[in-house]
Amino acid sequence: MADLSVKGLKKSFGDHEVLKGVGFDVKSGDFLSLLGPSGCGKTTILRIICGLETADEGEVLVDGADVTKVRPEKRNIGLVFQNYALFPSMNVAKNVGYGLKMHKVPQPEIDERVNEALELVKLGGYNSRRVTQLSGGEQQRVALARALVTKPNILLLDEPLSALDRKVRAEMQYEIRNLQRKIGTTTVFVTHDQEEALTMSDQIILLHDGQIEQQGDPFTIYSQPASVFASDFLGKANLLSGTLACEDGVWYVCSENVRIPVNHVGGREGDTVKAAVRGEYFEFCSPETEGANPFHLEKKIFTGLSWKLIGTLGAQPLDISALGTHAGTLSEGDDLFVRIRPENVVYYNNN
Amino acid sequence: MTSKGFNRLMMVCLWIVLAFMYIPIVAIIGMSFNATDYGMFPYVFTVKWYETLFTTSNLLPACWQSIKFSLLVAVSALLIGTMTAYGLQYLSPKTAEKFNFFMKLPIIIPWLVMSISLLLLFSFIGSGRSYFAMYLGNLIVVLPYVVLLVNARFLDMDRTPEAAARLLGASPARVFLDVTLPGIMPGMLAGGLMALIMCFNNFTLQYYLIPTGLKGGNTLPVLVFTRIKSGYQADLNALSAIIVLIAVIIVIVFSRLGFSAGSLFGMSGGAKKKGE
Repeated sequence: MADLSVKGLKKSFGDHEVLKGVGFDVKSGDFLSLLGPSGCGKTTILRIICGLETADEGEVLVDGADVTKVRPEKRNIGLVFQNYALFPSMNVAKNVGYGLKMHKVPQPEIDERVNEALELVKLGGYNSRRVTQLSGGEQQRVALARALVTKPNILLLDEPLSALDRKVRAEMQYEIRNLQRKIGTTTVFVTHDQEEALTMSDQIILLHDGQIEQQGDPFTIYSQPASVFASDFLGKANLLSGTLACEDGVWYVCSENVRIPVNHVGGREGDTVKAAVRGEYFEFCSPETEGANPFHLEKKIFTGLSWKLIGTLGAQPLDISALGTHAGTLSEGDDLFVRIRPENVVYYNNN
Repeated sequence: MTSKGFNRLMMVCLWIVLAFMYIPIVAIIGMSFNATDYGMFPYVFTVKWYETLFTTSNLLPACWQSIKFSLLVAVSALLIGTMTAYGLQYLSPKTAEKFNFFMKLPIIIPWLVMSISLLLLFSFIGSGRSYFAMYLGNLIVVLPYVVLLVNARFLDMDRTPEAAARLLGASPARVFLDVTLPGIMPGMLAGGLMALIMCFNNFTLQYYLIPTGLKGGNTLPVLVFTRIKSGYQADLNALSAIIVLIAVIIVIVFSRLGFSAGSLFGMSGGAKKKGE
């Protein structure tokens, strides 16, 4: 358990500037996700934290001590790789016990701690199995046990679930989170999967193009995306263009035939803005209802959990996702009315 | 191209090719038990050539000379070649490609040209033919094979376990011994074996560079050549039969150890498993 602090990381590969000054703090015992599209530099940050890569500028502090120049084998930072990176020539017990052996722990204690770690990841009795004979999920657990058995100050997870199938992935998400709560290791988790980040994290840092786009807890990040990019990357919000207007002290984003009420957070009347609205925040209503806007349904798609209703709000395309049976009764070509609460709309000034 | 007739034709061709390759080998084993000289008929069974080989023949000392020499060259090539291949991984792709090209070149240059140029070089610096010159010459010829095969293993294998070992507290030297070495072992075995065989076989380089009156006598290829000039004796057949037997044993042992021909010569991942 340790605090982790990263300050002003910059890194270029050739002409390509991967990190443009990234800094953040993780409290001891917290679970932080670095979320972003591929190529945004999130893996590079992990590799710099554990010392496999050196930053051009910036520093990494563990419990206030600068480890930027410490060799990776001396940092006591555990990393679980995307492809697990197990040692193919060793069996499960040797894989898990390798770190302890390197730290010169006596063999009886190694055996004991390996058994404990394997119990922890629910692989008790797998000691003498060959790692090449394990399934993807099992290999993942071995990798996790191997990283945890040395009691690292900080645990780094580099998209550890991306190679697993959906069902196993959901189980592992839950298990990793439980395990992390139980042992309380400060954890940094890298993923490009927003659902994974939202499910597992205490804090999320959204990265874009080598810079931090937004930082916050999952709910804030999801409901109050700070930028067009954030709103699009997390949950794919609808972006509606319009102009800001004020009427009787109520602010609206207006476009052709559409008037969406918003909470005013800045900008003047007449400013052109983009409003981000999530498809699931819409509700159907009667034409007379306050804030009702016309929605023309063009296509509906059943996705299992909900209906995806594709259509236009005024003149602009809009996807609504609707739960339940009511949406099933609608038919393509219907003209409907929808409304959304002002607290669920975020707008960005174009200027 | 899936017609039955075509498939049958292909099978026949395959058998013809195999027969062409193996009939001489079978023939020489047969002839090693034939009492008549020069592989003539009538076929009379005998083991006298084996007796000669192990008593009076000068082939066996030459064979030892060749084995010792080939081992020396192969082990040197393995050490230097593995280190070279390891270093190659840390060059930029562009530089590595250039390096690879120059590494492959000695394979293409005819041995005759290589031998003569080496002889000229050693004569020029005044040392002339020597065991060391022969050693260097053979080393140059086999080194590319080791580098190429080990390099292929490096490119093929997953390097992240090495980083993982590092983060678990292993020093770079420990990482090399515990993780890298087992990973490249198939390539090293293939390269070493290749070097051994190429060197054992290499008449041209040995003929040009071997010193006269070498302690322990001539190497096998050189001796066989001089003997054919002076007259053929069938104890050579006996030695050939034994060499074939050893070669077959080596192949069987290797495949028992789990190295398929493909994995040995870098044509497929071999030991590569899913999830790697």
